[in-house]
Amino acid sequence: MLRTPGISACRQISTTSCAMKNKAGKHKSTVNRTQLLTYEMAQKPHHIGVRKSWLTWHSQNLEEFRQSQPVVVAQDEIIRRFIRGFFPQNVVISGNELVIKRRGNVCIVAGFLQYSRRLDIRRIYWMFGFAEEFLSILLKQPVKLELAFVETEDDVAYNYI
Amino acid sequence: MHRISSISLRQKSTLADKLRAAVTGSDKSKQAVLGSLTVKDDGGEDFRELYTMPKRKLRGQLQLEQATGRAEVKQRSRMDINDRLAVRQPRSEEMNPDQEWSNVWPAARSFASSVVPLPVRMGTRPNVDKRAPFKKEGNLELVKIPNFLHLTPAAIEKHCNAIKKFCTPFPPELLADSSLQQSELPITVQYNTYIHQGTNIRDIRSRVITMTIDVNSLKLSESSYNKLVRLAKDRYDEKSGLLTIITDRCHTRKQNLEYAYYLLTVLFHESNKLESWENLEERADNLKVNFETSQVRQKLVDLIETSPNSQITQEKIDEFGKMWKTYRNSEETVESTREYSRQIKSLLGIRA
Repeated sequence: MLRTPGISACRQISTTSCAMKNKAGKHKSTVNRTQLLTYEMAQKPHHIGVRKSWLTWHSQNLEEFRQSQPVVVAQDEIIRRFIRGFFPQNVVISGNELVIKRRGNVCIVAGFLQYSRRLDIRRIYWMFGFAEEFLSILLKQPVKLELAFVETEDDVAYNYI
Repeated sequence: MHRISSISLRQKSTLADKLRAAVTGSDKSKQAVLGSLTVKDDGGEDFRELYTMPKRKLRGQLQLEQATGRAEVKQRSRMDINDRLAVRQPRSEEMNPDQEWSNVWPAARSFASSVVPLPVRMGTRPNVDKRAPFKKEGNLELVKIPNFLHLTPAAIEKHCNAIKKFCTPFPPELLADSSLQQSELPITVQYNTYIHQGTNIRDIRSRVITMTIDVNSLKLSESSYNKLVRLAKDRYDEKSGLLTIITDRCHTRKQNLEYAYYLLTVLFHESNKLESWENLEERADNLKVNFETSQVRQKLVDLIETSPNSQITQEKIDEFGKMWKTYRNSEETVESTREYSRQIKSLLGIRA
């Protein structure tokens, strides 16, 4: 393809005034106020690290304790993806809000699951056991699920916009 | 899982009828049925029916009929009705206020709204008067924060009472008089324990042992003390009289502690030994400049002998010797030099 150098050079210059507005943290509400917001979602960007984003608790981000920070990050991602994929019917907010805490060598996964679609208690017990066992073997440390059940996603709604 | 609110039924299915007829072999199959291939017109041609809509009621039609009451609505229970009936009320609602809370919440765990009978709320609201903070159920903020519900005062007391039988009281004499600690407990061992988390909870820094020994309590002779000071080098602090041994070359804390005790034993016995070549020690080899064998003392003694009517006495020489020793063995300062000058003037009777 032939390209004239003059044209491409002209195209790089834009003289129109920049109309970008600072829109971070502003949401557009729906007509009927049906869009669900959790507490995490409702917080503004300047609350990150204060009210928001305490979804993983470990000591590897402390000074003088940074021995395996990348490992922890990778483990977090593995756990989140596994829970999201293993409980697809039960996760709320597409499994984005899971709290992973570490105490000693134990890794604790907390958060909420829902049973609005189907409640099969025996199956849930089995899946909890399987997930704990699987993750424990995979991560070479005990993993405990402290996931609590809510009936529907509406129970975790902080606000509707 | 789809909900079974709308029911689609295949009604008047020609294929089903045909199959049934074929199986049963009834006479109806031979009869000319409208829409079947057997129907022929006068010219012997197949009658091909015009297709306008399927010969069954569509979902919309059924829903319309159900809504208008023309069709019977079949109510079916959910698949998981038994499990849903088995869901009980939150445990916190049927709790007895007199119960033992440490049995309900024995160990650390994330907040569970169904277990904790407290009317707590968590999270900010722009206007709390208008709308209360977020409720207890389904509150992720409460789950996030570490809670101390397993560490209630009653639980701690229970725990303390349980482990009391493994403890001995701290010596009350030492509590009353802390100065006894130096003589009664001359060895202090320090180490750090690191509490953190991960796949491996070991911390390599926890192996280091710092042992501090009060050298006076070893009761060494003059020569063995000097030898110990020479052997210990900068590990001995002369001001406080403390010997510090830091061991970190072994892998575990226990090994390092044993190694520290081994070092102390070796150091003690080595300083108590007297080799034959140690008798060859001269004045220049001393750690401290000595007054007793110094030239200054000799000169002062000579002075007393040559001038019998002088004011210099043995006590005065001893007092001067004390000052002289500190002056020679410590860093020279303006004050110490002035003190030296003052003393030598008073000793020789020179008026300033």
